[in-house]
Amino acid sequence: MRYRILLAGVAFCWSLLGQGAKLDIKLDHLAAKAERVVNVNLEGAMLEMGRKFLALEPRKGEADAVELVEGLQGIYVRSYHFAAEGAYTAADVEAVKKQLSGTGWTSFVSVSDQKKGETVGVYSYMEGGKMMGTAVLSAEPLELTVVNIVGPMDIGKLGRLQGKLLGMPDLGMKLKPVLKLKQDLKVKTEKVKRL
Amino acid sequence: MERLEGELERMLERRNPPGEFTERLMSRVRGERRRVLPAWRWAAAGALAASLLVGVYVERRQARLERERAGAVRDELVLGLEIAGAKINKARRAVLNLGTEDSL
Repeated sequence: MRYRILLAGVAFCWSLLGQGAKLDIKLDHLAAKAERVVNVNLEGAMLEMGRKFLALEPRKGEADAVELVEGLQGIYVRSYHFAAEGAYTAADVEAVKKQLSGTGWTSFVSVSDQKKGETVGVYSYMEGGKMMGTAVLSAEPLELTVVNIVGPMDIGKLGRLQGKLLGMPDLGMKLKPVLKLKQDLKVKTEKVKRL
Repeated sequence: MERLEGELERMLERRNPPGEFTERLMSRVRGERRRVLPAWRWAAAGALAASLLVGVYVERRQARLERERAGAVRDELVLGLEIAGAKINKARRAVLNLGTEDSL
């Protein structure tokens, strides 16, 4: 009995590990103003399903991604593309930045271009000497993107993988083709739901 | 003795069956056959086969839907990684190009 309680305790602690890396991204109010929105929320059973399917039937260029998502606990993406400037405020960006300045988070790289009004930052969350989370914040005049990965992640590998996964070359950081794919994916998902 | 013989002879003498004997016999045989596999058994067998077919169809449909759902989740996961990779590369490029005109 004691052994079981101990095991349950260990399992509970394990599930909590890295959970501090999960950001509370409150940017949903921007969806109404955005021209295109990417909203990815994968965790738990859904993430496991996606990971298994990726491992079972990797498409061209996805083989390396299988290893990359091993041990991943969650992936959350909010990306908003606007038709005109000024759709989001500095407060929206600051709200995310404030969380990224909290305990455990370290700024990996942060670059700002005042002239273009662009900022991009990569942050990592350390726990027990291990990297247990990653966040990317990119603010451009017409685009605001926040990526939050919970669990260990090789940032270098992730960067190298980009452009290979969706079978297209480097996007030049513009998300339009990806957003188009996302829209196609949404249509596909809705079709599945209707079935 | 003679009487007994005569009686036996009379009893065993060859007689033709009545006119409808064959028809009656054949209809009885048909009846027997029907009793061997009655209609309800045919119906039961049909129902069993139909339910098996329906079961296989439902199972396959469920598997297909599950597969499509898993495929959509996989696409979403890949999309998340792709966006994350793109933004990380943007930061990397910006660092590499620091000091030049086109840093970001």
